[in-house]
Amino acid sequence: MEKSIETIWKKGFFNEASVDIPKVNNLYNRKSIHVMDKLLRTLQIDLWSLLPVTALVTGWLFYLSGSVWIGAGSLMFCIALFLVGKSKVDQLRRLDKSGSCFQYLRSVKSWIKQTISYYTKVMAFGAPMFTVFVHLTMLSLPTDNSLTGTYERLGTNGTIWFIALTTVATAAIGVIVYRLSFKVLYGPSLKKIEGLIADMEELRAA
Amino acid sequence: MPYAAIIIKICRAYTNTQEDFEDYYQEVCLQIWRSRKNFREEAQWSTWLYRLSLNTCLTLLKKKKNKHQQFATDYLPDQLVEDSKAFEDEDLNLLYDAIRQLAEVDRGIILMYLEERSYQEIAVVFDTNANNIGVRVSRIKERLKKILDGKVN
Repeated sequence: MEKSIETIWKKGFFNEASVDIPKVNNLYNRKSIHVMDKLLRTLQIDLWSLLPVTALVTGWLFYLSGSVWIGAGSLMFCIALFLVGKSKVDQLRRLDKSGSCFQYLRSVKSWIKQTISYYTKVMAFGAPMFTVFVHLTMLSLPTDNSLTGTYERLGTNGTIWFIALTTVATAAIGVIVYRLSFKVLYGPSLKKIEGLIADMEELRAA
Repeated sequence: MPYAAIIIKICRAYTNTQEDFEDYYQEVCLQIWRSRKNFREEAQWSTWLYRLSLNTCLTLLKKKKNKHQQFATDYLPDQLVEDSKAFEDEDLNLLYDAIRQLAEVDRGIILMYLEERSYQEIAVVFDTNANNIGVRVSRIKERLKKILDGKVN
């Protein structure tokens, strides 16, 4: 190479204006795609991981209670959660992508908020209802195990308090565990989406 | 345009494909937008721009390496080299190909040198002293010459 690197550089950028500048109106599209890909991947893993959890919980409850009804109830509860989760993911996939990236991310954010609120209600009401179902089934069955033994020891009033306490505890633990797991699994994606929306809002206002 | 040109020149030195280049360019623009409030008047705008652009490119390159567990410069498939011919001037494309074979920090140093930035300004960006930059520029130029002359693969 005859020329010095300085000469090549100067000659190459002699007409700097002719250098193609990438368009920045596409600034957020690819970034949103990355964030959404990650979010959907996590949702999918989370959803399908519910199946082995279902098998474990059902097996465990069946083993503890010795009642087929409780096993069946647990299975139905977990399958209902799986089906609802699947429909929620499908709903997210169906969100309108024909508009702007800004509109799409806002719909995603709104979907996330609705989903959090929905599952919080499920945990606050569905999980306690299942706990009541377990207690009532155990009380109605003549099975002799540690739980029925507890009812006998507590007496009628004590049993009522025991059922009430475990029901409230299930609701509280359900909500806390759901919120925490959501924060760990989806918190970073939600933060990124909110950051992108904030950036775009600022850019629009500028 | 002058500031866009700085970003383009830097991003080209750290990417092999048009797609990667656009990704890096948009990420640098985004970081500039986000960090604009942190810019202090006592620093030169161009120095700040170089530092931010180089840091962003180096971070992206690190992320990419972690993802693929290989050095981007280790192996350049033919189609990627083809993609890297981004400029009309063939000599400039060759120079860029050679710059991409340098160590990551050296790429930034030589880009700033070619842009006629003072050793002092380059030293500020790379957190070192002007003498050190002077020595490194000489070594980098030597290496670039060897690469361009085909003495180094």
